Amino acid sequence: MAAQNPRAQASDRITLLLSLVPYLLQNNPVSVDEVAENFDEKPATIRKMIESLIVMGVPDRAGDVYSNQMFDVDWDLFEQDDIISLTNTVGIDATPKFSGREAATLLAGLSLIQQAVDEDTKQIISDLITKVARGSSQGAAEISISAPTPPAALALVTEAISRSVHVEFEYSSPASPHATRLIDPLRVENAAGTWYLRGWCHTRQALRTFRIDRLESARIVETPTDVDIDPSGLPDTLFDVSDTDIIAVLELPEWAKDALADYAPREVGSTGGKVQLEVNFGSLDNVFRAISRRPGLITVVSPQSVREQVAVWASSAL
Amino acid sequence: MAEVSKEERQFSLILTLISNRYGLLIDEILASVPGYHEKYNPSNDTSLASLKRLFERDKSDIRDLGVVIETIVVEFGWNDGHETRYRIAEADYELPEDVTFTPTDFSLLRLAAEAWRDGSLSKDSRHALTKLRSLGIAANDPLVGVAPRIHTSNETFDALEEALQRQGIVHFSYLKPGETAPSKRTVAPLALTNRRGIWHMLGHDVDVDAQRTFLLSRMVTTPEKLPNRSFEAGTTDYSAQLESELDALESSNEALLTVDLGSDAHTRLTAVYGSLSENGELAVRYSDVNLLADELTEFGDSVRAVSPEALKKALTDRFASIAAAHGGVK
Repeated sequence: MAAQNPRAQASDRITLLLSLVPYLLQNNPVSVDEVAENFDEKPATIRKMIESLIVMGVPDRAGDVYSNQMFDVDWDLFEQDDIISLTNTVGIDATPKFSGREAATLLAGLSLIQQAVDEDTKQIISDLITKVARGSSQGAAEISISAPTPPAALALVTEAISRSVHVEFEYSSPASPHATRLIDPLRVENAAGTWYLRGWCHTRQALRTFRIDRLESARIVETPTDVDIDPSGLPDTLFDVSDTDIIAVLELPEWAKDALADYAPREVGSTGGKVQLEVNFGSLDNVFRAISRRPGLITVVSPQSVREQVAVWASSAL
Repeated sequence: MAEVSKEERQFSLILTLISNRYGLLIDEILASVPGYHEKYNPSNDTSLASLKRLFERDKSDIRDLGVVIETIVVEFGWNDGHETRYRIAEADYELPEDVTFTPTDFSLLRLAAEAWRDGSLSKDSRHALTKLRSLGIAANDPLVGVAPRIHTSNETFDALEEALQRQGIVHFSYLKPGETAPSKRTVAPLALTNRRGIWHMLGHDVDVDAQRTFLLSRMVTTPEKLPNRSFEAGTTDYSAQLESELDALESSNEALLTVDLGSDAHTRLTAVYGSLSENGELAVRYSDVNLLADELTEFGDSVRAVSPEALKKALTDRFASIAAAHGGVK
């Protein structure tokens, strides 16, 4: 976590100080709670920031900082009513520009979102991309996400989400036989280049995750969604691994182990530059998929029966 | 008096350099800004040199936050005399006044920033969001319903990204697809692009003095920075160059596949690459034959390559090595 890194902490606090001043100037006076809410910080953090702000200023040549060259607030109002009223500011009064890295993170995130939204929002994002680039003090860092063709059903799914209506499609996957599914779509997510739909499945009466490139004959059903689930409360993990059929140990070179990071692997050993990872799989097809991440580099060590099935599966494609 | 903290020193440095529009000499900075001032002793060369190094580190840290300290060299016009002054120009510091954001813009930018959940750049996306919040825009959450995630949580990405920022040169072992032993590469990173979830790097390969594209997933060792070496990258937009190169490859390379009807491969490949032709073949555009073979391996015998030969061979090689690694078929 960044919070453990003192360098990150100092940079977090300086950025917050630089951002706090222009906000306070525009909203003077303002309650600590309101500032905290705006910056998504704890009120105690904001109070601490104000306490450190008011001892800082611009020094004269001898290194003395006089009170008219320092930040100041109405102290009684701050102490008694928890209200910040700036009475003196120095040096900065506007929002700082983005760094090249900051701009690049926004631009890359925007170009991913752009793949999934309607034409109007695509245009808004194009304009935003120009604005963010102009708002950087160093251009944008050379980090980008290029937009490949998204799966055909993506636009339809996001339209259903924005209109709060149901979506229905045919679905089959290695872990679930073919069925027609009626879904309250909650959110689309992109993980490692693949788009997923998360929603409430009326057919199964449960929260489910679907690969959007597996949706067939997707169509909008013009009935308003009715399940009361806050999409922001969805867990970060895409899949529920409770329906585990196979527990296998896979071996791969230490340098390549990131290839299986999203399978929630447990490291059970390492020898001569190779690691052994224990992974839960819902089906044999998922084992094939995992070893195909780095063909020939990932080997199933156990169970022996799965090893043999992998050999048969690979040989049949020769 | 308590020791001046690093953030207090750096914040005071920013305030001071913005407030002195003609800039300050290094000695004026060290003599006055809290954090340097207390340790400033012009008659002690050793302590002066260490304070100057501290100033250089602060300058670089502050730059990472988006605040650029400008160096102005003033010539005197006699005896080649000159002095170096430092300042922060308002135009470099402030978000331009006409860069404004609507509540919808803000909601989209917040989603974009939140895509960076892990990895070293999550700090930078968080800082971008803090700066945006200083504009005090109330988010109106349109039902966009999109939550992208960008995964970069590995040492390889971090090392390359750091070198990219510092114009450094790195070396690493690289396992080219189809080769059995890795080779040593010495490269100046120029751009990092994620395409279909796969990170590509455009770099200047120092040994062959030419640009090359690398896959991060094939770097066998964590890239290490060469000490005291840097590369003048010029002002080309390398991300755009890399993306257009990959686009050009995709539009010129086409593979033909046959796919079992009703298979998972059929559903997923047609969702992305379009429908089958009349004779039941699927045309797929690709930038790299090995990447395409990697993508198709998971479908096993439900997908077969018709052309090109290189793809047929790449797939056969993959299945042969998987079969052999699992003891073959008795």
